[in-house]
Amino acid sequence: MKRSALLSVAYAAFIVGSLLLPATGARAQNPTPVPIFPPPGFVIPPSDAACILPGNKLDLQCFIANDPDAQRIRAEEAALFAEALTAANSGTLDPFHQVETLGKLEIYDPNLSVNNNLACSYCHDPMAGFANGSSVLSIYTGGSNPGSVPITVAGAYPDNRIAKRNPQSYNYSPYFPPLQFNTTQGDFYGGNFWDARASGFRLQNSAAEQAQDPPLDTQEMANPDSACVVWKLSQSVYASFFETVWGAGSLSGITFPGNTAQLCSVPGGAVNPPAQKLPLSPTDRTHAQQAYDYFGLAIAAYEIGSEVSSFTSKFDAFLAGTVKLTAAETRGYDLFRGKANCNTCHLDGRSNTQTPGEIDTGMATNAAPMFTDFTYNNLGLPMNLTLPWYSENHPDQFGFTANPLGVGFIDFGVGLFLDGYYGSPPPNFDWIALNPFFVGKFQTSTLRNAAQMPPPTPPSTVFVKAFMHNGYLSSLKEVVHFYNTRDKFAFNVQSGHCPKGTVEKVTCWPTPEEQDNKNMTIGNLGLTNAEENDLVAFLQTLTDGFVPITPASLGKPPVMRKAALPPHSQ
Amino acid sequence: MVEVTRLDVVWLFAAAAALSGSNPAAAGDPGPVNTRKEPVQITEGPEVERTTDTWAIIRWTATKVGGTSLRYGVVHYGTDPHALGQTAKSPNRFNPALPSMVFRVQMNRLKPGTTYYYRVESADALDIPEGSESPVAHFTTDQSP
Repeated sequence: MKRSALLSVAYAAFIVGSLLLPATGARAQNPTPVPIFPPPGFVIPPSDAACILPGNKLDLQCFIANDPDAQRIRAEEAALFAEALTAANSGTLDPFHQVETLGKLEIYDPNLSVNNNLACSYCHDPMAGFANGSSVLSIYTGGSNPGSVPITVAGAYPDNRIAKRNPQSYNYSPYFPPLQFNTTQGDFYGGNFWDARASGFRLQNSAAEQAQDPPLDTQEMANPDSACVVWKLSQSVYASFFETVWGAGSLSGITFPGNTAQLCSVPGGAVNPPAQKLPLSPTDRTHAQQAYDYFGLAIAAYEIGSEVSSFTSKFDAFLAGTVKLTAAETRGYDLFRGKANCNTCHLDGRSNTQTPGEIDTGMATNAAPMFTDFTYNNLGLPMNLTLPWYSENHPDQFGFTANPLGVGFIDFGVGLFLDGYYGSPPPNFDWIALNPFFVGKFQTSTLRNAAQMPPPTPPSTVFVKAFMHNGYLSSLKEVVHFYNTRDKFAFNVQSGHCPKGTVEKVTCWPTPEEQDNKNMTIGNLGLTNAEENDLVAFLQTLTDGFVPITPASLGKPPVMRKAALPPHSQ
Repeated sequence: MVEVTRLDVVWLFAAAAALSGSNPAAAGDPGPVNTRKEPVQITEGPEVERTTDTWAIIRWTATKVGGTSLRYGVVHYGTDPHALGQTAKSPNRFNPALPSMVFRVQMNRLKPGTTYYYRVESADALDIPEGSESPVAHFTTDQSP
């Protein structure tokens, strides 16, 4: 049989298999109460007190209206949008900064969501390294953020559509190459998203394709059609600036139907009334897709720019030879490259030492190391039962059920992408067969800005940041401790059920969500408590902003991103 | 009625694509020939890192020979020292800054209070053996709590 015929068989089997899969899951309810782990120093903000429901659940609409971090993020968003609009209207931007500024306008524009209430930045707070910026969400929802659509069904939990994962930072994301399977290394490299599904195959730009996803995600911005986003762009205050960047007619040349506003107000996934694509002519559909590609490319331009990916950390200064690391940071760096095995995946770009005690005098192979090898790994993280996703197994007022499997859902990471969870096979059908080797794997994120956090909201003395795809870990110390002791303190229990005499996340790690392909490079590193702290000290050197952005470094007047923010957020 | 599980579906795809000759890493394809001249040498272990009643971890240290970044530690095991018919594989990644490489493999779904015999080897990301195997050793799982 010819290869093409066999691939057709594989694809047909893929479709049948995809239809069969949901039937195998159990319709279970999430346990009550769900286990939470607020760290010392965290106090529930008084304005959130009424939002905490029995069983450690969070009233999301109450949170949206009252949480101080959410309010801060809204203020940042408005300030940065205004800053970008002023720049766009100045008429002084060169072409490079025009496209970057357009991306900035798009990212901070809440009107691009179905209910005109959610910008990209809501889940990607600049003050939190472009990741989740709310302590309350880190503790009560695994860092996952509520989307544009409230759920109004009486008694429903959650009472707002909410994403299934902790939002991944998009800083440095354009440096990830388009996803490819390297047949020599036997591994996937590149792509965007925790599960690689923004492969970049069409635009050859993973970050641009990543940017095209949340506006259409039913749990996030929830537009029913990419053409709706384009229509919203055409109605925006920066529509003419969009055409300055991408050409006259790139928006205004598209003829939208008279009932576009009504059709675009129905959220994605809706059954009643049904979410529909806009009835565009073939030519207008093509132009709308082009405009949506431009939308994504502009966001990628902003993300790769100096406001998001600036290479201005203390470590960058160390590589440039202008600053020395402290003793603790140096010890941490040595551990990072040695005993702790961090640079097996989070590559630091330095040359190798071959014998113990040898001094590395080499320069970084890349002057701007990414601290990732762009691959995917299963770290063996336990399920995070605080994710409201597990309770989204009931239809909302639109008849849409986000997660029919409920707590029976297993996050297979790249495995979801490869086996068609998102409604279509991967763009390269050859990749389907690789699924068994990538089940349970998630992207190795850059470590740059992992330590960046906004100031805590009093009376809390700490900001709580969620780490990993499901937000199970909520501090860098916990992250390092997990890598160090995952197998030493492994117990065959679910979160919330560690044996007496143990402490979850300290001397007990619940069973992994997925055992297949679990990376064994980590799990029993033999680090002392002091060594864990040294590693955290080193990770803090990777936060941008240590080296001021200067006119000399940019070739233009300094961009003071934080200058536009309200005083309390600086 | 035959129950179709998720795993069945997954392997159906794997088999179809392997037949198509599209993926050297898939089952059924011998892949490229290992032309590496210098085999990996086990310098420490293997030893049992931890046992419970249902799982165990085996670890060993090997010389670091050039190869893929992703490697597999492989444990062949069974309850009869002359029939090590079961295999456990775990991915491990190469640390470019260390002179040797530690392999660790977790064996799951073991029986409590049972003696298992095992030998270890390693393979690269394309499942090509790296050249050395350990002698057969054994361990006993814990009794059920």
